[in-house]
Amino acid sequence: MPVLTARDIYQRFGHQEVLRGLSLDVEPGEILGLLGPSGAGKTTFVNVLAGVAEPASGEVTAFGEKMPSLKLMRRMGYMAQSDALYMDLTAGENLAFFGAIYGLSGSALKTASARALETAHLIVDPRKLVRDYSGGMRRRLSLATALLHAPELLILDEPTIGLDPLHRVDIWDAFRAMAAGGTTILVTTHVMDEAERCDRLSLIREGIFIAQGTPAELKASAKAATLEDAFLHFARIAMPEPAFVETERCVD
Amino acid sequence: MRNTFAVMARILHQFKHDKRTIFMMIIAPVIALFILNILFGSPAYEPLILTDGVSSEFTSALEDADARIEAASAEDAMQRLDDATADGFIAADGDTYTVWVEGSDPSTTGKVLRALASAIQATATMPTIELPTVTLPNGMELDLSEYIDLPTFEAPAIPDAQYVHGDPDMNTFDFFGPVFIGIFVFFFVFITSGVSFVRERTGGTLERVMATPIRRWEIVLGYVLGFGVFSLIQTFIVTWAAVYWVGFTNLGNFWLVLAVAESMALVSLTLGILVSEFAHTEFQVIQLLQIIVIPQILLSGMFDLSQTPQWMQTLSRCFPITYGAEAMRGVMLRGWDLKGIGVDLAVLWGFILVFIVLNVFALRKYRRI
Repeated sequence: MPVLTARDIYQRFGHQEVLRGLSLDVEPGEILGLLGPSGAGKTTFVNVLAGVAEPASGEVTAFGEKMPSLKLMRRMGYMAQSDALYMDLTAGENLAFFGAIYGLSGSALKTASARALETAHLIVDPRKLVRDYSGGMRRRLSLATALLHAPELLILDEPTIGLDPLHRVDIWDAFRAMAAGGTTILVTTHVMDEAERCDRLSLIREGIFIAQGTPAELKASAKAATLEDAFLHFARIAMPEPAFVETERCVD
Repeated sequence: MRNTFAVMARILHQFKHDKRTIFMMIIAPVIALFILNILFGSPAYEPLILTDGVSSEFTSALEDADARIEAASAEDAMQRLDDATADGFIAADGDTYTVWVEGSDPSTTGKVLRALASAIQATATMPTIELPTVTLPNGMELDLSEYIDLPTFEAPAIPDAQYVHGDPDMNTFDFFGPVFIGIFVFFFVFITSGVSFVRERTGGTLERVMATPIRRWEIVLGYVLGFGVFSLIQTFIVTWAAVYWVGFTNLGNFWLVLAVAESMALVSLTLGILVSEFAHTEFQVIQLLQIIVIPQILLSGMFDLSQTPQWMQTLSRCFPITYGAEAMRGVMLRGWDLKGIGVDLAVLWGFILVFIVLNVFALRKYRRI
């Protein structure tokens, strides 16, 4: 049974349809990549999946039950595209706040924070405010807050954006290790070499899925050498004419 | 409820690190009160009245009525009134007085005219009747006043008024003071809470928090408690400084004054969060402040509304500040107790509850549950 299911998700902002009938199944223990250019609707879609936005229509189920539900959200971890940290708090205070909502305090919080920071490859200064962190450190702290309560399902919106290549490799190794341990991961990206590391990919463009499959399957069926060529191939088949004439609105 | 305390603790931690905000929230009202302190503490202005041809008796009566007097020719006096370097000119021709005032400040004009009236009253000569002494044919002189009861004329005495509330030393400022305290608190809390919630929305942290199993009411209540603690400190400082340092007239219980001011702070807090829903930047919070707070202040009853059109009076009854201002005046100027301001306080708390519910509802935008 899939851990997360989306059925026919539509979303509108004003007159513009941003999501146009997206359906998706995420299987237990897999890393599913949502690959698409910026403005394709990735963030809008994961916000609906994570339960922080109401879709215009469509249904999301997680762990076999209907979303949104506080009980289910307890089992999920979400990392937003913006760092979504309290800049005027220390890293420890940020972790303590998010931990408190999951009932973590005292030594349990300490253990969980240490584990999450290790996974995110971040060493924090207990006195420094997040405001004074570099972009890459904030990104990794944001990831640590999502991992804190050891969720069964992780929804990560562009987790490695702004990270140096070394950290990016380390963090993908950590994702792989978590998936091997049974954690299900849904990750958005627009970087092709990251997409290669996913178990399965859903290619998204202008609010619809243009293809789904493993990276190898996608390349084979498009007869393309790279994922990028495969993406272009599917984009041409799915929408020979540009679907939108109006100026694209940034939805990220 | 546990999550509510998590939000509250987080807000207090944020305050702890944000020394500048703490400093501003405390120092800004204290600066304003310091200015009021000086305005309050300065002696009352004594109008400068120029005179021409008035008796020395009249001049000293004017001086007794707290006016400064200088002699000046008519031409000179008119020039000085025109330059606004004198406040009034009194020229006497026998018993006829010609009076000019500078006229741009009604309160100074009033002082000139009151001094004039009091001097005229003091120097008025009362008619007396004197009976001639009659010399009788036998050479005896007869004092008729021993036989006839003559009426005496005296200027009517002005009775001393007895005060139900306040005392004769109270000035216009005392009347505005209680409203000032409420408005200060309202204003400063509105900015801090509105800006801070806009930051949550634009920084993505609100969305992030909505991805956790926290209930919408827990977020709102956490905000109310976190900022409530802080606004309590601020309100205490403002109220204490106003009453004991600046010396605003307070005939009521200090703690009751504090309770009313804190209730106004909580209205402002919950309204500020609600209004931030309509702002996309911190700058827009300030713009909204102009629409939402300034009209409320103008219609709060700070100025007398009893002669304004009915719709304006009705509008004023729709604003929370009106009830806060009324309660503040009730306690501080009339020494009312909880019973006297019960209705106003209940209306304020009604506003607080309504705004809390609306805030919880507004968060539905993110999540249905």
